[in-house]
Order: sequence, then structure tokens, then C-alpha cells
Amino acid sequence: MPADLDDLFLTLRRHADAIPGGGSADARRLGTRRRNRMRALTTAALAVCLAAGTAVYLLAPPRSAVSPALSYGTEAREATSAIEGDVVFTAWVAKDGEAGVQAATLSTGASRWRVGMPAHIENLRGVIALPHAVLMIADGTATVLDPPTGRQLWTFPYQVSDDLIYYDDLLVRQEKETGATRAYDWATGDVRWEQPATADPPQRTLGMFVPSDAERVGRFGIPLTFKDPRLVQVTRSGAVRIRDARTGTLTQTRGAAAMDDLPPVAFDGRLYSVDRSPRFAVRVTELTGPSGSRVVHTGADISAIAPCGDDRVCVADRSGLTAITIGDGRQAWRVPAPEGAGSIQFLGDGLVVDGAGEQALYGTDGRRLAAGRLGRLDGRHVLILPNAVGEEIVRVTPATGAQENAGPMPDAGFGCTWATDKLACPGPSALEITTLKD
Amino acid sequence: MSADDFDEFYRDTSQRLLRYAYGLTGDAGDAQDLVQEAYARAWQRWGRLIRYDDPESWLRTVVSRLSTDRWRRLRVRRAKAGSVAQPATAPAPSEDTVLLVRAMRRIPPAHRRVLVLHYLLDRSVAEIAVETGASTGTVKSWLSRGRAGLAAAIGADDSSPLLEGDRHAGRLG
Repeated sequence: MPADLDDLFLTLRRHADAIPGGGSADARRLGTRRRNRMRALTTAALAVCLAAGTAVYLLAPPRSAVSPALSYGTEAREATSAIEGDVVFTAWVAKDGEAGVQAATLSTGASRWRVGMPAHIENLRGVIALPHAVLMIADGTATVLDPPTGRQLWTFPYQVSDDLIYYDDLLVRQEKETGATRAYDWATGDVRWEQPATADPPQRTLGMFVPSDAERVGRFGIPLTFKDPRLVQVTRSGAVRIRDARTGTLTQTRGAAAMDDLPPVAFDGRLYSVDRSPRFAVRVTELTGPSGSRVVHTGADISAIAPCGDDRVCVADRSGLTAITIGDGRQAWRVPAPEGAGSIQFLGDGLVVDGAGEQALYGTDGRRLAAGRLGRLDGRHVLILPNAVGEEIVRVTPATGAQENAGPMPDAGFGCTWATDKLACPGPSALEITTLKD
Repeated sequence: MSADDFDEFYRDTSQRLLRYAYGLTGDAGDAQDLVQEAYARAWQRWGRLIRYDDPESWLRTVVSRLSTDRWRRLRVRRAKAGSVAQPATAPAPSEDTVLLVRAMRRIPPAHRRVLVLHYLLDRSVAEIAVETGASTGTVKSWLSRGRAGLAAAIGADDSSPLLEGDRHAGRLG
């Protein structure tokens, strides 16, 4: 044995330096794939942390299954699920690239339909379930399926930089590459209206969340569709244009500062954005009434923002999470944030901050209530998902801080999604649905 | 957001990060998985990360967090992600490395982390304090207790030359 720690560590160091790395291209591919999935959802939903929250990877057999597992009829190398109402849609890609989508009733586990995709797939970006359409995004193409039958309705090209805004009856798509914006009919794919590129094209297109969207959470999970028709476009020069999503008509133009690369958020008649001029600044732009744009907070390395209650915006930076009162710019509270905080999800009665290695749940007063792998369950609860199969899932009520066990964690396979009292977890060969304990 | 910038960053930092991850986990496969996961997350937010004063420390934070409780499922995920190439196999560790790895697993994660930062990445007490958010006094205490813990785990008594490691205190201070 070597004489001291120096020698032992030197030996270990030499061994560590002989370990081959995976290569930057693979890391980029993995990161890009995740970002693409997130982007497809973030264009529609403020609360997209749900997507990150669905990824839990575990190891053992399930308990309290609703029904026998719903087989894909093949061995999948990738699968993902999404829930709309009482239906769970699962897309999978087999090892040879063959792909398919199936639908099942969440409450009973009964199969509704299963369809194969006409072409082989290399990269499955995700599946998005909406009231009048199911989107399967893969290999630069989004395929629109009819939710009741699985029939393929139409397809459109999709790049990660495109913005997709979902409404009940139409889809708005802003192409980053061309700067054009088009609205499509869900059922037919017909173009309802089109806005060609201009000299100052939109950089981001957003739907407008309104407080009443919170009422839809309990029934559908996180609402992906917008009810408010205001479509907000931020142009390359920083101008803010508001259109009527139903017709494409330009209704207002406002000035605002240039954006940072953080995605802006449109909520309740305001646009929340971050710019650097020259410091990081949180800017609130009023989209109704006469008042314009103002900076409500400056700081270093702002990494996430979200409106978080009456006249408040929450801001994460490298060292903390701060709630700012928009009216006077005063700090309501500041608490430590998870390292590397990258997004904030406002739940109405709490906040989830997604950090580099963990998520943390806060009350609206800044109290830290829980940490771990978190996901919003419904309008009143958040789930804490354990790392090991068989360990207890915990249901948290942010309003009170109360926690209760919700049953053992099943095998998550490729990651779970959930709604009200069910977990749907696609595995390598089948979808498992399990019931959470009351 | 440039892939070239990222690739250069990867080339400059990945070996150190692998060393760090291996020090924390003691398993070459886990270290490879953790490092790839950390860089994948870095690429997801590269536009912001590249502006950080020290993006490499951000990567170490990710690895530290993931290594505590998540590396097991990362392995599962990577194993199931068929389209992502698996890194090449690492050489077998020496007997001394196995001995040290086994001892490292028996000491608290905070002690292990500062030992790795110090011995494998040559960080000073002051630098470790900044990175971990602990005071310099706490870091010194963790280093000392970590070394003692390793000595106990390896089976050396207080007179063992192993405690020669305490001489680092001079260099660290």
C-alpha cells in the first residue's frame, strides 16, 4: 500500500484520467433532444416544468396496476405518454425505428386504439395531447392525429426553433427560419390565416395566460391550450405586437427592450421578459392601457422569471429566489434557490423551482416546503416522486404544507406522467397505469 | 449559441469533470454517465451558461447533486436510450484505487467532495469554500475529518503514515 494519501490519490487520479469520455457530440444530442421536447411544450404552457417532472427513471415491478399492461406489440427503445382528460396517449419507437401511438382510458386501463406510423423514426421528440388533436413530433415532422380514432389528419414540418401555440380549434405556428406566422385548422390542416415575414420578424410568439386558466388545471392537468385570443409576438427589434389569434389581425403594437435568451411570459395582460442593458433586468410591459414598459428588478445572472401572484414576479438568480412587487419594485421576500435554478413554475398557491440537480417547492411566502422530483398533480397538490421503486410517493398541499403518502412508486420505465389519481408510465414493452392512494 | 464553443469547452473541461465524478462515485461507468448528463444539461442552457464566470463549477454542481441520489436511474436511462452511444470501457482500477474508492464510499458526501476537490482538482481551501458555500474553517474541518475517516476506513491507526496527508493543511491554508 502506498505510504500516504497523496500517493493513493495520485493513483486514483491517473486511473480517472484514463477513463474515456462520451464526446461532446453525444452530450449535445442528448441535450438538444430534451430541449426540443421542452420547447414543443413551452410554446404552449407556462407551467412546462411538468415535462421535466415527468421524467423519473426507476427499476422494479409496479403495484396497484389499474389493468394489465398495455403492450405496444414490440420492444421500444423510447416511449413517452401524455394525458388529456381521461385518455392517455403513448408514442413509442422500436429498436428498428418502427413507431406507433396508442390511446387508453386512464381510469380503467382499457385500450381505445393503436396505430402504426407510416415511416420509421430516428428521434422521438414527444407526444402532446390536446382536446382536439394529438401531436406526435419526431424527426422534424409533427403528425396530427384524431384523438377518438388515432387517424392521421395532417402533418407539418417542425423545427425546434418554431413556436407552436395551441388553441382549442386552431394551431398557430411561427416559423423561426422564415419569420412567417400561420394559423391552421386542427381538423383539416387548412391555413386559417397567414402573416408573411416582415423586415422586423417575430423572434418569439406566445399565448396569453389568464388567471382563470388555473380553474382548468384540476380537470386536465396543466392547460396547454389558451382561451384568451391575444397572441403576443416579440420582434427582433424588441417591438411587441398583439394579434387576434382567431383572425391574425394586428390589434396593438408596443415597445419593449430586446430580450435575453430567457423565454418571455405573457400573463394577464402583461409581458414579462429579461434583457441585459447592460445589467440583467426584469422588464414588465403592460399590454393593455396606456402605460408602457418598465424595469422592476435588476440583478446578476438572472436565470428564470415567472409571474407569481397578485402584482408579483418571482426571479431566480445564481444565489436566490426573489419575489418582487411589480407596482413599486420592492422585494417582498428572498430565499435561497436550488443551485442552477433554470425555471420557475407558479402553481397559484406555491412555486416549483427547477435547479441543476433538484426541484424545490416553495409557498407563496417563500417558505421552502419540499424538494426532490416534483410534479404538479392537480389544482391543489404537488407530487414528490421518490428515486426508488416501492418507496412512497408523497402528495403535498402547497397551501398548507401538508404531506401525505400516495402509495408506492411503480417502475417508471421511460418516465411517468400523471393526472388526479393515476400514474401512467410507459416501459420498454408496455404502458403501466397505477392508482395513487387517496 | 455555438456548437464549436461548446465542443471546445467540452475538450477543455471534460477530463477534469470525469476525474471529479470518478472521485465522487468510484465507478467509471457512473462517472461517464454523470458527466454526459451534466454536459447535456449544460448544452440545454448553453446560451446562459457561457456567460457565467466559471461554467465548469456549474457542471461540478450538477455532478455533485446527481451523484448523491440519482446516478442509479441515470444509468438506467442511458441504458435505455438506444440512440445515445455508450462511452468506451475504462481500464480496470489498480488495487490501491479500489482500496481508496472503498474508503471514500464510507465517509460523508461533504467530506468526500472536499477531498476530491482538493486532491484530484488541486483546489485550495479558499476555492473550495467558494464552491461549496461553506466557510474556510468548515472546509478545513471537513478535509481533516475526511482524511481521518479515510484512515479509519482503510484500517490505519493514528500513527500510520496515511495521516501524512495532514501536511496538506499547510498548503491549503
